[in-house]
Amino acid sequence: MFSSTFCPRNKMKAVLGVAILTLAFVFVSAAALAQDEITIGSLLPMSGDLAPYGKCVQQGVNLAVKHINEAGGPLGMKLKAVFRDSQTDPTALRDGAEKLVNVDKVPAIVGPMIRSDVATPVTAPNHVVIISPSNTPTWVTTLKDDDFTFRTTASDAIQGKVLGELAWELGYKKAAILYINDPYGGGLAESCKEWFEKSGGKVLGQASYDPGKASYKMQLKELAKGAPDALILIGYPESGTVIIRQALSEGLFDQFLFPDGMQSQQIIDSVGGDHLEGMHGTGPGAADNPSYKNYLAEFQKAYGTKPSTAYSENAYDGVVVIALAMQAAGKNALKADPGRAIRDKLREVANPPGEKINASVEDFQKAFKLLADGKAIDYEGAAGSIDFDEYGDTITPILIWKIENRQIVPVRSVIAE
Amino acid sequence: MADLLASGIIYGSIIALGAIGLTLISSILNFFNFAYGDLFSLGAFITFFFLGLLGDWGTFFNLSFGWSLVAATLLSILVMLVIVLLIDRFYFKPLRYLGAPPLFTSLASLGLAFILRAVINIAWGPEVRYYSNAIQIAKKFSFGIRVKPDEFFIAVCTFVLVFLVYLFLKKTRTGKAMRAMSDNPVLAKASGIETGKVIMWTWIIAGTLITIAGTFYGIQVQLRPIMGWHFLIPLFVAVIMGGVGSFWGALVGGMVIGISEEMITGTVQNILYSLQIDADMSVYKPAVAFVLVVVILLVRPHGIFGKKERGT
Repeated sequence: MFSSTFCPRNKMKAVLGVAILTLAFVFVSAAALAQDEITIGSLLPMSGDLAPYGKCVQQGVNLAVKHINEAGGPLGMKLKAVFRDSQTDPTALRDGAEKLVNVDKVPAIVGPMIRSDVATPVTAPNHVVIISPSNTPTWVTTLKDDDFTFRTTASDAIQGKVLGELAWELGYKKAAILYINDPYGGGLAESCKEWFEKSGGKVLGQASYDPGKASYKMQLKELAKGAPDALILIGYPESGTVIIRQALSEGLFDQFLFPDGMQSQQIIDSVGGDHLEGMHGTGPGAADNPSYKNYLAEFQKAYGTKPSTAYSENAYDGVVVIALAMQAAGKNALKADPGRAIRDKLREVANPPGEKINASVEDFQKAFKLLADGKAIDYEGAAGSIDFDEYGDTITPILIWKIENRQIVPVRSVIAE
Repeated sequence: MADLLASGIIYGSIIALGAIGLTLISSILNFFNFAYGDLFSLGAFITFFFLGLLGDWGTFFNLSFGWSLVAATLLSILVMLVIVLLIDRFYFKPLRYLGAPPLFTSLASLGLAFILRAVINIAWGPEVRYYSNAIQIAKKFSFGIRVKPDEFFIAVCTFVLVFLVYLFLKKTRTGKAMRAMSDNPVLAKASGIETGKVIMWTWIIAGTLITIAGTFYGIQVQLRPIMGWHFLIPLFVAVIMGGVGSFWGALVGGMVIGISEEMITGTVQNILYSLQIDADMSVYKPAVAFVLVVVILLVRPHGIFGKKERGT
């Protein structure tokens, strides 16, 4: 097709083009460095089933970025967060992770909220740290991640235990479990069932559901057989409210128990009336520590409300430990391989020993200074102590909450092993 | 069982309403309109918009909604008709004039689907909405059937609408022209049928039905920007199962999908229980529609009511 005279000229053009692009890239990178900015990514579900969570967690991320910058920023640089929408959809999640890694070129990502297993094959080989604020399933522990995958929330092995025992404690003898057909739902349903039955209860039926369906009557009717005392509904708010409304209007269930996935003001508002008064649930966090109190006050100040869903404080902690790890790594290590540098320092800044650092601008200032002087620190987060183990897991407290006057109110925090 | 059958019929009637419009577009305009699902969402959301403007006018027959929703739906239909006719004029008509093949036009409609969904997301955000937050308690009938007044209303309205569309297609000149064009476009054009007018009426019928179907879905389930996109699967399964272009096929196909999605996995589950096999069938609920369409296409490749492929 190509004539022999045409080909070299074309090649020349191509070479020239590449050269110009490279130059431009170097120039832009240099400009970016000169401005002393460092960008981290955040991969959150801004649409789909988990949209209410995504929005609230984004507020947590933005608050952390603001506080870190008010404290001077890591290594004196300005911290920036770039957001990508995972749409509560694994395909979109993977796409978002690819874009953060290859287009935005971030060294660390706060997120995803669920399905770290989808993001990890993209992030880990490219040396990008991911810290999920909320990916609770047990299998996250054993992901093949070259130690690049972390989370600032407790494993569902713990939440399932608290949820199962709570069901028994509330006086339910027989229960049915309806869980969302994904790795989160299945895992939590299993561990919840195990502990409810260990406590003395009996799970009469267990069924899964797929989100976005028009009707869940079939599953609900199946589960209502044998008249269980309560429905343990393991899912997310969007379709979860359809299930609750249908169960109520068909007169199949009137007692519900919820895990973290349903800890959202939206379920109370969408179901309406007083149908959910007195229902209980479990969720992450709310350790009764100064960091959390300070976080709540700052959140209220910034947005005028308290967080509308769980996990915003876990995301806040994720941003903070990334920034602290950047400071600990130093400029040279950060330039060479930023993701690895952050990964290698995360445990140093989050775990004991060292001076305790709470979630506040003053403490972050202190932490930056201590790290610059080569001293050890131990971040005590808003979501819990945030001490990463060898798998990148943390043990954060589990909150038991209930619905009172159409609000989610904390009952007590449990620290389970 | 009778109860699940009843709720299957109600879900099926919403699918049938959408499928009738889709089958008309597929056969008369000769492409698969992938934007139809998002028109379904858009109609429901525009109704939501007018409902907010109109406020509460009181309810009737113990329904969870009232006259204001009826008025909002009518206004929504008007707006939607303007929208679909504009879309046809400035999007599909130029494609027709360019002589774009059906595959090309179908892909163009896929692009339109993304645009419409983005518009809904921008205008209303990703949150879930309801026309009414009140929960209706279902009424008990014999055979263990429980039906909400809303569901009764949806089923009755669907059958009235289907009957009206049937009369239109059967009795009016335009309706006959539409059927002729769906049957054999070349012959229809040769006989002097005004294709422009037929296409306009196709959009009017499809636009009206999809707005009502979207609103019914909103009453019955909830409003989400993504709902129409997910609803495309049962819609297309109904159309393909019934036979593209077949009015009765779309109706029957919609009902079959609605009923089977509600009943099949439960029935299989009971069979497995009686055989003492411990397996959770609810996991396979989404597969029902696909298995059905595969089976029907293997047995009758042109759909239940479809005509055999004509020679061209």
